[in-house]
Amino acid sequence: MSLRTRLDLLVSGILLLMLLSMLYLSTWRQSQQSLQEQQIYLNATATALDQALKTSLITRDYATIDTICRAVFAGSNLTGLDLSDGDNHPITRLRESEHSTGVPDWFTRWFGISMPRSHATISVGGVKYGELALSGSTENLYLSLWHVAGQMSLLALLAYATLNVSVWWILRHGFRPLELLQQAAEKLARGIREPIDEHVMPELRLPIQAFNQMSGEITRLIAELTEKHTDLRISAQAIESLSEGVVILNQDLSVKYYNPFAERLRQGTPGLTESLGDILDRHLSHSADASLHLVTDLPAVGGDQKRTLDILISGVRLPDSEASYYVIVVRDITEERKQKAQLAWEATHDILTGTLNRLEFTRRLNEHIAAGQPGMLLFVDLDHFKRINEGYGHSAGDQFLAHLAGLLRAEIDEGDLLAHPGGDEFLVLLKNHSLESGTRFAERLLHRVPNMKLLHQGQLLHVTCSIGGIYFDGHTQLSAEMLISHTDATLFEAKQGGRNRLAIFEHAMPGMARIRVDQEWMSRLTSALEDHSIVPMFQPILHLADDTVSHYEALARMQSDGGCLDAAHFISHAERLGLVGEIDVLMLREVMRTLSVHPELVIASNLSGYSLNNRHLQKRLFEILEQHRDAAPRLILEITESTAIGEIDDAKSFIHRAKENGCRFAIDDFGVGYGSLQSLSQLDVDYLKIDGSLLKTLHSENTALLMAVQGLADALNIPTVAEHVDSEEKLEVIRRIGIRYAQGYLIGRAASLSEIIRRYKVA
Amino acid sequence: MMPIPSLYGKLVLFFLLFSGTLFNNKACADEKVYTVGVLNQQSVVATARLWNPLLLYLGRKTGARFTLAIGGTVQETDARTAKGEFDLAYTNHIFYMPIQREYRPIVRWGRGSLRGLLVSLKPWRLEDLAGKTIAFPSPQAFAATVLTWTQLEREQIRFRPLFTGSQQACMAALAKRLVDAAGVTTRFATPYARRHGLDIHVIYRSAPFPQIPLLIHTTRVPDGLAERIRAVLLNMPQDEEGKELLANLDMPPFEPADDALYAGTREVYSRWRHRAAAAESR
Repeated sequence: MSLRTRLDLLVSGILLLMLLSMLYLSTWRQSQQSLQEQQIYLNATATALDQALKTSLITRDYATIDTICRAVFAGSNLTGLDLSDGDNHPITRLRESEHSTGVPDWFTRWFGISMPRSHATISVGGVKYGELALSGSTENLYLSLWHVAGQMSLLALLAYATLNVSVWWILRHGFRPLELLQQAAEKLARGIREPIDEHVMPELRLPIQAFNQMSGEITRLIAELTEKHTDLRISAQAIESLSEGVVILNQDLSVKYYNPFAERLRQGTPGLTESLGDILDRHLSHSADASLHLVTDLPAVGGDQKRTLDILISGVRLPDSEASYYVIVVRDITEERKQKAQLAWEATHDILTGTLNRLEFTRRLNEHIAAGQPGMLLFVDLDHFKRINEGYGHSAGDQFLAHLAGLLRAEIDEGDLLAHPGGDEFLVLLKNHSLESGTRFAERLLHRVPNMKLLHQGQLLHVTCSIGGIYFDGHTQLSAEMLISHTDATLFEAKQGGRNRLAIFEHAMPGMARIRVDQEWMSRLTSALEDHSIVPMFQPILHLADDTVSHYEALARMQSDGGCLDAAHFISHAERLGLVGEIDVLMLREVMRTLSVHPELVIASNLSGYSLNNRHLQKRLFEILEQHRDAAPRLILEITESTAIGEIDDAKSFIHRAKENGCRFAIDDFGVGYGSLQSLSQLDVDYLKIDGSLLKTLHSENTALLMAVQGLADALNIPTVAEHVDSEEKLEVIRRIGIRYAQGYLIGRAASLSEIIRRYKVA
Repeated sequence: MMPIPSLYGKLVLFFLLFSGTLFNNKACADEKVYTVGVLNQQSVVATARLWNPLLLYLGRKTGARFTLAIGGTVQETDARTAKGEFDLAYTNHIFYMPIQREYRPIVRWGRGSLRGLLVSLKPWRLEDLAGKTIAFPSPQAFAATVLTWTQLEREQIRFRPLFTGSQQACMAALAKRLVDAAGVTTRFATPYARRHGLDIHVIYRSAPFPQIPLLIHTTRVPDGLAERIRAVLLNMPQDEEGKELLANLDMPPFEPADDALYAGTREVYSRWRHRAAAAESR
C-alpha cells in the first residue's frame, strides 16, 4: 500500500473519528442545553406557581388552587404536577402521558436523559403551606435532539465528504512531486536519466534540484565508472595476456594474485614465491612505499638449468584503504640474456671461425697498448686460398677457415688474441712474447699451416700462408690501426717475396711497407682503369611478389691474371689511393651504355662517398647521365647508408639533382649503419638494401633484426632488397618478413651481360 | 393461673395508667390549634409574612399552636369574623359586628393612635376631591373608610368610591393613578409611600383612635392561655427573641388593651351602622 493511500486512509479515519466525536459532543451538548432550558422552565414555572398559589394556600381557596394548577399545566409541556398542603395532604395531582414522537427507541436509550423535575416548598413567614413538584417532558427534547442529530449528521457527512475530497486532492497534488521523484528514481535505476521539471511544485524546488543534480552526477559517475571499468577490463586483459609475470602479494607476503604468465613461471620455477618473499624480507622493510629492481637467477624445473628473472617490486597503498600490497613484475630474461650474450659475442667475433672480428681485435689491441704492455702482432694470410673457394666452393673454404682457426687457437697462449678480420686473413696478438719468441711462433705457424689438411669430398685440402709481423714494446706510440696497417704492409712484402714466408716489420723504416703496397696497388688499379679491365658484372635482383627479375646490380670486377677480383679486394685500396671516383665513373659509363643498348634492363650501380663530395667527379657523372638521358630513369644509384648519413647534405643535394634526370636511388648496406628514421626520412630514396651480414647466418636474433629493419622501411614506406640470399630457408624468411626483393647466390651469381641476357632471356 | 399483684404493685400500675391518661389529655390539649383571624390591611401574603413569625413565636412561648386565618378579601375575613370562626382576632371591624360580645381585647399593636387619611399624589384640598374617584379598602374599614368617608359626607363632597379590598390595593391603585385619592390609615400610608417612593399629599387626617386590638374568644381560649398570650406579647420588648422579631417586622411593641379603650370606636361604628340602615331604608 502506497504512502499516499495510507495517509489518505489515516486522515480519512481521523476525520471520521473527529466528526463523529464532534457530532456526539454537539448532540450531547445540545441535550444538556435543552435539559438546562427545560429545568429553567420548570423552575420558573414552579416559582410562578409558588407566587400564584401562596394567597390561595393561605386562604385555603382550593378551587382557585385547582384552577390555577390546571391552567398552568394545560398551557405548558409539563408531564406531571403534584401539589400538597403544609401537612403533605395531596391537593392536586396532574399527569400527561408521553406521546410517540417517531424518535427511535435506541436513540432515547442511547442518550438516556432523565426526566427533568422541579420541586418547591411554598411557605410564608416560616410557615409551610404546600409542596409543589413539577415533571418536565422529554418528548420534545428527544425530538429536538433527533432532528439536531440528523442535521448534524448530514452536515458531518457533507464535511467529511468535502474534507476527504480536499485531503485526497491535497495528497494527490502534494505527492505528485514525490511520484515524479519516484518515477525518475526508477528510470535512473534502469539507466535512464530524466530530469524533473523544477517548477512542478515551487515548495519542492530545492529537493528536485538536488535530485536532478544527484541523478546527473550519478549518470556522470556511472559513465565514468563504465569507462573506468572498460579500462580496467582492458588493463586486466592486458595483464592477463602479458608475457611478463605479474604477482601481487599481500603485506604479510601471502599471494593475492598471479597472472597466467606468472603462474607458468611459478610452475617452471618452483621456488619463485619463496624467493620473492626472501627478497622482500631481505631488501624491503615491508614498507608500502618501497620499490626494488633486481635480477636474480633461480633454478628451473629439473634443477640443471637456471632462469634469469628481472624482478621489479613496487609497494602499493590504495589511497582510500589501509591495505597495502606488493606488485611484482617478473620478467624471464633467460633467453634475452642468452641472445644478448650471443649478439655481444657476434658483435665482437667472426661467426665462421669463432675468433674475434677486426673491430674487437682492434679495440682489445688498443687496450693492451694503453696498458703499456708489449706484444707481437702477426697478420696471417693464406696463400691462394681463392683456389679452394673456387675449386671446392665457399662452404669448403669456410670449413677450412674454421679448421685453421682451431689450429691457431690451439697454438696461442691463453690471453693471446686471435681474429679473423675477413677473407683468408687472421690476426694474432701474442702478449707474452718477445720479438724472438714471437718470430719463432710465426715460423712455427709457417710449418704448421701447410700440415693442416682438411678432407673434403675425398680431397685433402691444404694451403700455405704468408705472415707479416710487428713487435711493439710497452712504450709504443702506434695505435692498433697503425700496427695492423704495418703488419698488412709487411704481409704484402711477404707475399711479394713469394708467399709462404714471414716478414717482420722493421721499426727503423716506418711507412716503407705501406708505401710499397700503395705503389703496387696504384700501379694495378691505374692499369686496370686504363685497360678497362675493371668491368661490370650483373647480379639479378628478384621481385618476390611475382618471382621475376626486377633489375640487376652492376658489380665491379677487376680482371687480372686470368681471373676476376671481387670489389672487396681492390675497392678499399682504390678508396685509400683516391681512385674510387674513377671506378665510379667507369662503372657508370659502362652501365649507362648497357642501359642505352638494352632498354628492357634496369640496373643499379654503386657510388662511393668520394663521388658525392667531389664536384669534379659529380660533373663528370652528370655528364654521363646527360649523355644517356633516356636511360637514366632505368638507373638506380646505390650509396651506402654510412656515406649517405655521414654526408647527408651532399647526399641530399646529389640525390635531388640526379632525380631531376630521372634516376632512382637505393641505400646500400642498410641496417648496420647509423641511419635513424629521422635522417633517412630526409633522403628521397626508392630502395633500401638490407646489409648482407644480417642474412649471412640465419638465427632468431638476426630474424628479429631483419624484422626491425623491415619495420623501419615500412615506416618510411620504402621497399627493401635483401642481399646474400643463398638458401631457400633465407628466401622463405625474407618472404615472411615482407621484404620485396631478393639478391644473392640463390637468385643468381653476378655474370656478364651476355650471360644474364642468355640466362634470364631478357629480350 | 396468673398471680394477683401486691398492693405496691397495684399502686404502681394505677399511677402508670393514670399518668398515661394525663399525658394523653395533655397531648390532646396540645393538638388544639388556635385560629388567629387577621384583618386584610394588606395582601394576604404580606399579612402572612407579618403574622406567621409572630404566631410561631407566640406558640413557642406559650406552648400552644396558632394558625393564621384570613380571607381572600377583607369582606371574606369580616364574614368569617362575624361567624365567630376565629379563636383570636386582630381586627377593629368586630366592633361593627354583634359577635363582638364573645371577644375581648387583650393587647393592641402600638401605642400610637389610629387615624384615617385621605391621600393623593397632588396637593389638593378636601373640596378638590369632589367628583373624584377615591379608593377605600372596604365599606367597614374603620379608619381608612369610615372616618374619611364620614368627613367627606360631612363636607358634603360627592365622590366615586372604589373598594379595593385592602389598604395596600388602595395605595397601589393611587400609585398607578387608577384613582385620584385613597382612604388609608396613618400606620400604613407613610411606610408604603416610603417603600415605593411615592410623593403623597395628605388631604385629610381624622381624629385619633386606638390601634387595632388583638381579641380572644372568651370561651374557646382558656383564661390561662389568654393570659400567657397577653403576657408574652406585652413582654416582647424585654425578650431578646421578641425584640429582634419586632425589629425584623418593623412593628412597634404591643400595648395593653381592654373593652373600655374601644368605646369611641364602637360609637363611630354605631353611627356608621345607623347611616347604612338609613341609606338602605332610603
